[in-house]
Amino acid sequence: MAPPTKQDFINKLRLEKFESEQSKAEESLALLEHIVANASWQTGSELLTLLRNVDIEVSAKLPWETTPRNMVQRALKIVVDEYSSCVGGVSAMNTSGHHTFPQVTMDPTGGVELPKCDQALPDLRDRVLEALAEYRAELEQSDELIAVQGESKIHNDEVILTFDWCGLVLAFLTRAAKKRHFHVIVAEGAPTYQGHRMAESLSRVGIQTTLIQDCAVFPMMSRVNKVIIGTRTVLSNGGIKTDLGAAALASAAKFYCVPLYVCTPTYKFSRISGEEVNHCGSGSAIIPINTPLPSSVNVAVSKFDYVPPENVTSFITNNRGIAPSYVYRHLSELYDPAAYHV
Amino acid sequence: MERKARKQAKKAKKKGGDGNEESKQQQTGKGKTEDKEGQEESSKPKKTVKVDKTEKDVKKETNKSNKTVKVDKVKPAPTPSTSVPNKKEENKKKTPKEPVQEKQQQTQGSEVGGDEADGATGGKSKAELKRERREKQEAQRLAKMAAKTKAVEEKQPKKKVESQADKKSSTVDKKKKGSGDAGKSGKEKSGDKKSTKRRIPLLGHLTPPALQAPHAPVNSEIIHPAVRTLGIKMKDRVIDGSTARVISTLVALKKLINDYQTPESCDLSRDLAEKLAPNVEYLNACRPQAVAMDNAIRFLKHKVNSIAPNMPEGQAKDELRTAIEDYIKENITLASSAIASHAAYLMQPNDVILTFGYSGLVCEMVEAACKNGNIVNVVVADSPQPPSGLAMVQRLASLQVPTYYRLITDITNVMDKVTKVVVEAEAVMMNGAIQGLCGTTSLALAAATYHKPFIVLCHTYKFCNNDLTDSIVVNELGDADKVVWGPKGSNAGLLAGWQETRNLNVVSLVYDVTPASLVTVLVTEQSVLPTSAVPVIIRRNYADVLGQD
Repeated sequence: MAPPTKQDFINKLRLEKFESEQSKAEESLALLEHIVANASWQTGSELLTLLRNVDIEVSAKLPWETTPRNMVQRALKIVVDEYSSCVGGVSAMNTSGHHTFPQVTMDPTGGVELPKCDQALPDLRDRVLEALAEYRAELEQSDELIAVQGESKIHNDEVILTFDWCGLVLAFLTRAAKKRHFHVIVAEGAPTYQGHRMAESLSRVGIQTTLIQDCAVFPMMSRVNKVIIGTRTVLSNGGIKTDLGAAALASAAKFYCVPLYVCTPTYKFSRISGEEVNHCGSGSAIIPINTPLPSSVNVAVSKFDYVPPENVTSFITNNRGIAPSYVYRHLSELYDPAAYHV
Repeated sequence: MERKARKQAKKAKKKGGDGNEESKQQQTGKGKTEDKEGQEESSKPKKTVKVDKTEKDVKKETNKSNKTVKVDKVKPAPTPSTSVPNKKEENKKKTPKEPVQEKQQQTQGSEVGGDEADGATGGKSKAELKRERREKQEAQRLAKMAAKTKAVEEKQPKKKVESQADKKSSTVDKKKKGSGDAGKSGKEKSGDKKSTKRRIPLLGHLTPPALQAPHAPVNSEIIHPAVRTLGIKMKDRVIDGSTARVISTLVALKKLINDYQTPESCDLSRDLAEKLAPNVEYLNACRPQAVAMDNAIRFLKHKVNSIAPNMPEGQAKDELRTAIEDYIKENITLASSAIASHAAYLMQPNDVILTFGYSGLVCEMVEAACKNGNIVNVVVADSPQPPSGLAMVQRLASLQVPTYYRLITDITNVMDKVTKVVVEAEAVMMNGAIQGLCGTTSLALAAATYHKPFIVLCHTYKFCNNDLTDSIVVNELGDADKVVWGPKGSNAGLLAGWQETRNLNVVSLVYDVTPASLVTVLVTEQSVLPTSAVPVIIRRNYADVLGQD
């Protein structure tokens, strides 16, 4: 296998060749490991700069792809932690000296200053690689860890609403179905219609499934007990950014006071704060074939939907459930506060 | 057991020691009947038996008549159908049945009957002999009827057995698979008699769409050809949308009235009402009636009923025709322009209006607004199946209005630029809830979330006396195959085998109900109203027509 390069990775992202966020995460981690192992660097700071270049490039070309950027941030945090434990007490701190209580602060200058890790330590490379390998193991287990929580969240004779395809939610429900009997309603998720795929997979596993149209989400919501969805990104304010249709779903759930759970592994927690980036897809996706529309009509389809944090009940992650209001704190555990490039 | 107790109680009321002996015999008879007959079949004869008994009690008939009742039940044991002719016999005869009993004993010969026959043969008069002969003839005639009804009844117990088995299997399925809200869906599933078409959990009370129009020959006397063609058009969704359906229904019924001729010695109003009923049922069977159609037909029936009995036919028909034409003109044509002008008054220059699907009223409103000089931008949200918004977009573009076309899932991304949300209602409920095409509620919710006014346009004739709080209780199922084949690309037809798969259901709802709390104003031809004014309008204008439903 050819060694992974930044350019290949970005091209692959751009052409949307990844099956899921999980595969993106794994490949970006592979890229970072490669950089750590093979690139020429002496001090910690050089390594940090190298790693952050990946982040900068991805954010310049594909700003909505948050998963690779999150992986980079995590790697940066790992490097900084390993460095500080190597040096033994003399921690790499920013000038502000907030090492003991790291807080997420948005540096208005753009967070250019990385933590100073100037000492050249011989075993830093190995230790960082080891830590990255641990992280990789955690990544691969995240599916399983989330699915296991299904039994405690879902009870007998409940009606669950979900939408669009999400492998995590599928694993979650499959696991729960082994012990519980419940009914799942799937919204089809135009314009990608991945809901059809989800309904088929669920019914194959033996779960009683009903496929409904997106416009029927509000009517059916009066009969639903829980809403469980996946997401693309978790924003730092506790909201989520995901496929089209989630916002309508979440509003309806709020109206009927139905809890909304989001299944997400930790690599989806991102430091961007709002929905400012919205990518538009081709309008031809929504016009049926052979229906000519006058050219004066403006047709467009957005790619993402933003759900505000007040509509989300809880995030189901590897370790435990996280409330939206706690997300900012969780971010500070995951990522290094200074290493963020806006 | 209950039946025994009831019968014993009735016997106890009657006079005579014979009653006790007979009651014992009755008990044995009952025991046998209960063993031999199916539960449901025996309940029928026993009910009629009770009726007959009370009648006989009133007429002070002898205890022997009760024996005949038992005999009737005992004899049909092997074939339940024979209880039918016996029931009919009992219903017709209100005289003592000793001779019948004897004949039946002679012809069919049961164990219990034999004992009683010996006691009953003594002391007959000529009148009784005559009665015997008459009743013999009747019995033979009824035996022929029994042969016919036998065929029917053999099917009935089978069906009932099947439905019971189906109910059992559906409950077992539920336990295994566990449909959500098992209480509700359980009731719904076991409540309706299970036909071969399966029901969707949670929506079991809604019938799947008709694949074929109900059978009616072309030159049928009952179904007018205009109504027949209309039924097929509505089933195939050639005529869609409540206003179009109402107008076409009234036009078809007008043709029916034209072609109608009062038969001799019949009241026009009663006979016409009878002739209208199967036509209306036919339309309902092709496609469930919209609320608006229901109201229009109610109005027509009311008009028909109010025709004086001595009015000449020509005049009556004229009156009905003009009534229909006036109804359409007042409530639809003129009302539409009134609504459009009221709503256009609410528009301001450079307003961005969000609407859903195709709506004639909204188009008229936009036209009126343009004439007033307020150029509005319109965003049309559309659901992928059926894409009625495309026609809307074309009509708006021809009005030279800046138009935007978006998917219904995409509206939250445009809501910050939208200033007003305007939709047309299919019906308005008494509690102010709005029934619209499925998807209207998403717009209402988005409007509430982003604090934009949600304006509903509706004709008053669509107001109805129901009060609905959710969209599932009263609804219509659309064609699920359109949903399956809707997607483009790899997901099309993924669920094509859903009807065979037990775990999988595909649902397409036609209507949804927006709660009154999400509606800002209701624009009708009378004025711009809040939703709390709906029952007032219903009472004022339509109390006589809509009635106490």
